[in-house]
Amino acid sequence: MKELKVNCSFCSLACPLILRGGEREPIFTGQSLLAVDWDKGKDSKYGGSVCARGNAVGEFLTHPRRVNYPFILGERTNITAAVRETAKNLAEIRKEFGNDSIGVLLGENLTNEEAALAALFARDVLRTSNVALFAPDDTPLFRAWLTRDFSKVKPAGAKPVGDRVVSLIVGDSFTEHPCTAKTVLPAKYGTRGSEVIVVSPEVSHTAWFANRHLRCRPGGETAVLAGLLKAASDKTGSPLTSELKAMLSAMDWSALERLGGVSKDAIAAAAGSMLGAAKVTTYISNIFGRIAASALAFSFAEALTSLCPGERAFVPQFVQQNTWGIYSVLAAAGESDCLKKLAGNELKAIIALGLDLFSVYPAAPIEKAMREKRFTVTTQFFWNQTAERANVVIPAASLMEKRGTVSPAFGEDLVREEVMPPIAGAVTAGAFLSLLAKEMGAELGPAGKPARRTERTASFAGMHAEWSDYTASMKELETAPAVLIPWSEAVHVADGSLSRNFYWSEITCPDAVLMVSEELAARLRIKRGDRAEVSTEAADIVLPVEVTKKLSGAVAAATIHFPAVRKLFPLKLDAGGEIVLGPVPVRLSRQSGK
Amino acid sequence: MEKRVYINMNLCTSCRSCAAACAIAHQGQGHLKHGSIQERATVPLHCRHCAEPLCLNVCPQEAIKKDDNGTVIRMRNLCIGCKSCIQSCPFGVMLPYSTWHTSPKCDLCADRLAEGKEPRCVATCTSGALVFEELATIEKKYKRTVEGGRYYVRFMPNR
Repeated sequence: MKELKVNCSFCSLACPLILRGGEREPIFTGQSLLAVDWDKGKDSKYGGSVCARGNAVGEFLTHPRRVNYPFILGERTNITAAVRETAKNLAEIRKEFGNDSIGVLLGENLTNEEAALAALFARDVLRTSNVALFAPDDTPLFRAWLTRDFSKVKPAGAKPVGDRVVSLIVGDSFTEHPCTAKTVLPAKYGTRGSEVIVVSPEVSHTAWFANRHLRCRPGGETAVLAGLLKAASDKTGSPLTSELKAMLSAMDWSALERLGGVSKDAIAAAAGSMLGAAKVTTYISNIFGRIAASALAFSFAEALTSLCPGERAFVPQFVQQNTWGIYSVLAAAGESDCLKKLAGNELKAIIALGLDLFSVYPAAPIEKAMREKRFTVTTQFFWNQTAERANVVIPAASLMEKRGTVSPAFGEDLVREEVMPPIAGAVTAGAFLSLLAKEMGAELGPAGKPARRTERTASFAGMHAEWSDYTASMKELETAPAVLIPWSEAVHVADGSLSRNFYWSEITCPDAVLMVSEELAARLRIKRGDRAEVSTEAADIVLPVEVTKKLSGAVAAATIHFPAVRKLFPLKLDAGGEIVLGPVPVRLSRQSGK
Repeated sequence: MEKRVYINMNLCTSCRSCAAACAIAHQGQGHLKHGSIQERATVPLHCRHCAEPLCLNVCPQEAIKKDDNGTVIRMRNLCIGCKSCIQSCPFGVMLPYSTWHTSPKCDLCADRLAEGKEPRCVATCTSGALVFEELATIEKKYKRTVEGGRYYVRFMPNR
């Protein structure tokens, strides 16, 4: 039996795995992949464990429903014909509508080299700047990281004595990145007085373990983090940056309590606990856009961690494995307003690489945009809704099937040298772009080591405006009859588009469900098993109801990994051209005549 | 040398990785499922490999036996799928196959034990809640939680 050591490609933890294959050559293609094991020998941040999703790597690689051939309008073809058809259509659209009528959208399943090649393809072959990363959950965090450098913030006071460890978790890390538990829980139980502080509106898998659960309003995480920072800053008188200090002094406690839904006392006690800890680790994760104003929340969390006088670590966790790498490559290549054009229906053709558009927020405007496009070419693993609406579908290779560099975390590059060859028919996005460029009469050389923007600036620009937008959006939620937040299922988070195809997750979570709090259920006279009409400004759908104790107040949650549920979320762009995600106001009623 | 899987419910995050690993290794039909207790806790349910297994006693075909390590195993070639074992299990942890006409049974991943490895559910646990240790060690090490019952279930506090 042969072994291949790879890294899981589903989320930014990149856990080490061992693929075991048969003796046949070439190994690890098709059905010769026999098993997936957990590489405990390799230095792993999270102790050599693999979550439910990671367990399905073998199933994913050899899945019988994986797209193995290129398709033109649903008809099976070969790669030469698919490339020719794509080149012909792109040339026609360029001639009729101009260079800027074509957009290149990049998803997470690209290496840094492929992202650089895509930027080169857009610039040199298509002669447009329309190239963008489509990862709305992660991009606000990257923008915050690049523009707000907190390294100058001095920790407040002397290092506390003792060995108390505090983990601050914003969001639901144990569901979104389950292997995180392997570092957080031993820390919690390891020393007396250690704590886990969780900021989330629901009693999530992570909140079960909280010593202090700062149970905020939906979308209130940002206000609670602002409160924590304000309390820590007030307590220590630590020199924060002048911009941040001015902003915090303008915030009054009553507003923070109202926006966040957590009392000043609880916030101050949590901040005190962090300041007195020998070690503080902060985790923040924004899967499905559960945090309203996630860039601000990220900045507050980082500044708060920097203030802690003990040993400290700030660990942002990303939804997808290489979104940071792609973002940094595109940032170095120049900004683009491609998403604005997509939302405004200015694009006539889309090249979507490594991206299932329907599994990335929000589905309804994307469906409309795709229906109105003249031409769409996409690389896909499975025959999904994006593939159904595309003119040309190219079978995609996963990150475990291509060589290159990915960047799962800030300052961490992972060189993928040991990989298995792509399954029969699959081509890498880089190979597809090279073939397409050749067909269009250009030559794309090897990209080499791509230029990346990783240096941080301390501009802090736009923070005040972001806070104003945030408070305005929270006002909207305050007056709403109910608020809809994402409901995470461990086996589906990080990449709903892939995991929905796994046999295992079909058993765990086969259908879209609406979870409502007991209070809301009583108010609406709705019970488990009823069907509810769910309406937002974007769409109206009907979902079966579950009543849960894990939510409170006028809050509902829906299994967001289903595109039907994603339709409920409107497509909103901020001034910077980024998609705005977060909880939305919702109207609920029991469907009459069951 | 009897080894058993012990679940420390203080650590279980109910991420279901153990159930996924089991299912994937057994053609999608795992021998381990999660039970929910009034939404307060989710408990991974798997075979205890009892000292006096009722499933072994009721099997009309003698398809279930205890091996030298105390592991209760089922011989697939003898099983007729009468489901007597499933009905007799006091813990409700034996689950029928939905497609095959036999009754499956956790064998602690005998193939991995032969290679000197832990069962799949233990190897994949993301929080360190599942451990595979000798029975005597478990009873000694986790005395407080083992006493008075096999498991200590951590209930979620009312919030």
